Amino acid sequence: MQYSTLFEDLPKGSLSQIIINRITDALISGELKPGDKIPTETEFSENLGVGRNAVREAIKVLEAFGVLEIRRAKGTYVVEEYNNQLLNPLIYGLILSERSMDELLDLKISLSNSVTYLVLLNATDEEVEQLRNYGEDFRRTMLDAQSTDEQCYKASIAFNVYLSEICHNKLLAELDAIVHKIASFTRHTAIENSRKIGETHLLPDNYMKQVEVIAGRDATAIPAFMEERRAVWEKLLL
Amino acid sequence: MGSKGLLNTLRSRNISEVIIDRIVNSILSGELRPGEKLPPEDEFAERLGVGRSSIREAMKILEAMGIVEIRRADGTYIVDEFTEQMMNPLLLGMLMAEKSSEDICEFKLLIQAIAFKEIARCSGFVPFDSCIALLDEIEQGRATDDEQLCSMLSSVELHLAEGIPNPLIRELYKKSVQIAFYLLLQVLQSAPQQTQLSLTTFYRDAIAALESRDEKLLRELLEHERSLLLSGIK
Repeated sequence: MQYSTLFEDLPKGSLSQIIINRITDALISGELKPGDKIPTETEFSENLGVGRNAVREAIKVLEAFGVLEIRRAKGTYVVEEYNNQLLNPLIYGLILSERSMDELLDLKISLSNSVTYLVLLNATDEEVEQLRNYGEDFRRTMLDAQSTDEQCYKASIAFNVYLSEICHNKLLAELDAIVHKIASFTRHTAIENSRKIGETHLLPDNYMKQVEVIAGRDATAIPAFMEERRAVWEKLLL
Repeated sequence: MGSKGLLNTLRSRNISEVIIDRIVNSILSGELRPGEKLPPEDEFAERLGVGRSSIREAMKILEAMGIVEIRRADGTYIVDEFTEQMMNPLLLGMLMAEKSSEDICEFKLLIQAIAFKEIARCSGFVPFDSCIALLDEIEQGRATDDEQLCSMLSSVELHLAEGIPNPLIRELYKKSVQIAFYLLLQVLQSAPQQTQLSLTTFYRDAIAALESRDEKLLRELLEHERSLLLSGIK
């Protein structure tokens, strides 16, 4: 018997997926905190009105993610310190590079804008000078014909990691780190291409420009700088 | 206590995690391509020399990671574009981190600024009318308690989010609204009348600026809201 709507696929998100999202929401809001013991399978099952299998599956997934841990004979707990295990941002980069490349780049640029703004506001003069050092280091590495692509990549990462550190906002810094990891292939490509076309100064010049904008503490200079950055990336990536 | 290395709980790696590692590495190496279909469960299990339930468990976890899509009666595919499902696992590090109120507030405002810029620039449909209707209801005192008020205000932003074509930015914005929800609730509970009024006024002004694509006005409004909120939570 063919039922056309009765057996239509349930909305995206199986039952366990919905429970996973519910637990994640509780973590976001703080209702569940690191170190907290979570309700038992039975409590979940009864309060949400779902089968225990779905609950068990959800907990298994979150355990695999490194969010929950099962302590023998005690119960299931939110981990004290979250540690990224299975979730490697690199893989999302590969998947997104297929059809969502433009959108990823737009996100990267928008975030870069926000980080630059916060650093301009929050970083101390000493921190900006240290950022300048990282920028000079990157420039030296890029302009040295003997450097390997990997060395250039590392120097570029060092600059950006420090940059997000000195914005003094843990959330933004973490998001920036995640997006950089996802888009790391774009960084490799940009460095390679700039060497291929013999314009190794493009990226370092842009980084140093960023330092100047920040040091000048004038937020109105940011939009123009971001346009330049977009132009450099488009040149090196397309 | 929180020790970093030697004394951390030793998590046993079960077969499913080994299978997941194998699949993730295959994608990273290019052996498996985004969009590609995985072998059927029984064949996969036989080839790897594992039980079907291990494969099934691995698939469920990969699905929760947003990396595979299980299409009933068809098969399991590697995802090849952004899906909402990816947002939570992607941001898990950020979501689990210890966050101060100032950080949350500042973060939310920055993402909101990004979102508003996107809306002002794009040409798609934005449900401004539903937003205005919601604001009308709020101002008529329809919210029964602070939590519902907070929900309604968040809804205005979630509606605006639908006008963002870039799905990564759209979902990030929605997530930021979620992250800041309880902070907003605290702010409302501590200074209700004045906060509610300044917030609904801000959204009305912002919507007008978005409709007319006035980016300069938007920047000014956001700056104003920023100083209001950041001083309000101190």
